[in-house]
Amino acid sequence: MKSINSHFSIIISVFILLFSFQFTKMVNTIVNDYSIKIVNDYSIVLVASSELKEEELKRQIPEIHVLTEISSKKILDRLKNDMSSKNLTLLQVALPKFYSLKLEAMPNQKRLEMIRQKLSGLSSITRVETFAKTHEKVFKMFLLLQSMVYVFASFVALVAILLIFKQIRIWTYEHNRRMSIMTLFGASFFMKSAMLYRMTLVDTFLSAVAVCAVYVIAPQLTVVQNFALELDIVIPKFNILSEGGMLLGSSLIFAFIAVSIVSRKIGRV
Amino acid sequence: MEYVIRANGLNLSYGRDEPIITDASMQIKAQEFVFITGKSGSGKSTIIKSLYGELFPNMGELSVCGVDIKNISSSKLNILRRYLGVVFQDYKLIDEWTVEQNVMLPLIIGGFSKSVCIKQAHKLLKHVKLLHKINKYPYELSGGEQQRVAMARALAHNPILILADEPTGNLDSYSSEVIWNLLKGAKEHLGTTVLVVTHNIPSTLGIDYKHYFLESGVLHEVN
Repeated sequence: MKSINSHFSIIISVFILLFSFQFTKMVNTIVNDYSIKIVNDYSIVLVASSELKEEELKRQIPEIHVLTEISSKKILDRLKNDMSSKNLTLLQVALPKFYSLKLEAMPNQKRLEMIRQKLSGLSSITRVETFAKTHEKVFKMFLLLQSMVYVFASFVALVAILLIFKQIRIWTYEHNRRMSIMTLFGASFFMKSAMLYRMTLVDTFLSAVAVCAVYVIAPQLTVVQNFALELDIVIPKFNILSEGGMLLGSSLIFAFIAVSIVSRKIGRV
Repeated sequence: MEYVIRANGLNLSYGRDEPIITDASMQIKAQEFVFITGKSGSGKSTIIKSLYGELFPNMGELSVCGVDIKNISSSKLNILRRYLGVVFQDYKLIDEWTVEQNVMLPLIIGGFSKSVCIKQAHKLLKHVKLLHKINKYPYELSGGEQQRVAMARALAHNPILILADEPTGNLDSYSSEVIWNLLKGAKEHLGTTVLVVTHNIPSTLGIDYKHYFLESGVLHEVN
């Protein structure tokens, strides 16, 4: 029972470590995807007295992705029944031109203000609406969430690493007598530590497989899918080959290094 | 290699304490049977420890199987230990391994195949009359039986030199006889050099031997 418990302390610690690592990666992807989505949804509205040329604007503001004219046809159609065709023609001439300006990436508040000032400085532009406050609130909330996940995952990872080292130390002490006897008969470091390596690597392998299983299964659960739908986010798919392989490989390397450090430190005879 | 063990002006101590062995010198040739006797606490086990590299000399020269122990690297020490057969006073058997596995230890370290390890372990356990306890664990054996397992382990890989620290201390006459016969057999049939640290030399040994007496940290050759 005691032996099984000691295996669980490695399995759970490595599981937490890998889970928090993958979770951070996943949140990062979600936030990045969401910021792209915000950029796509976000646009600056320009009111101009004359026609604007995208190339000219791009020369001054390189972040500009596309400039689209907002048609005034809808406004004129609405007024069609209330005005005479003559007045309507006059209004069509007098109406300013409306543009929607999309950016390549989401700028910060300072840069957005600079863009606004540059656009306002152009003689043909009479009004600039950036909707800065709305965009900034949503975006900052996401950045805060991302930072919180980073901090939380770092603490969890630190505790998990300490627990892994502690358990390997306990195992090394438990096997110290056998290791010292083997040393007296000329066993090499790897030969006398083979059991520690085997136990740690097998437990780490099991943890990595469990983490991969969680990240494959969880996005397929209805509860998770509904939650993602409500938040209007897309949970990235877990790639078993690249991401699973990376998790497994890095955890095995970590376990190998941890056993080498601890048993070299304690197991000297 | 004329001498298997060569010590000259050897000083041994634990840490910064006063030396336990002072200015000890001995030359032991291949195939010799050697006794080191002395009172309890005279430093007999300390000499054995220095010979298998658990304790390093503070002063003097010490070579074992032609290897300078004072300046030996850990990898070379590992290799040297594979040519030694050590019988410890407290047996040093691995509790979680069976009798068979314990005897196979030096063979496994030496890189022998499993079939060779098993065959040799069975042969030696038959010699020490413990073949019927092959699957028992050390804690299931008496002190005498454990010492016989330790002796079988020391002989398993046909070592150049056997170092035995009180191999018959607290043993019954039957176990003592088995152990002395094995040590004698190793010298006579395998040409192994044997160094035994003991309180008393058995009167019925029936072979030529060299005798060193240790008194107050000083080693004297008796005959």
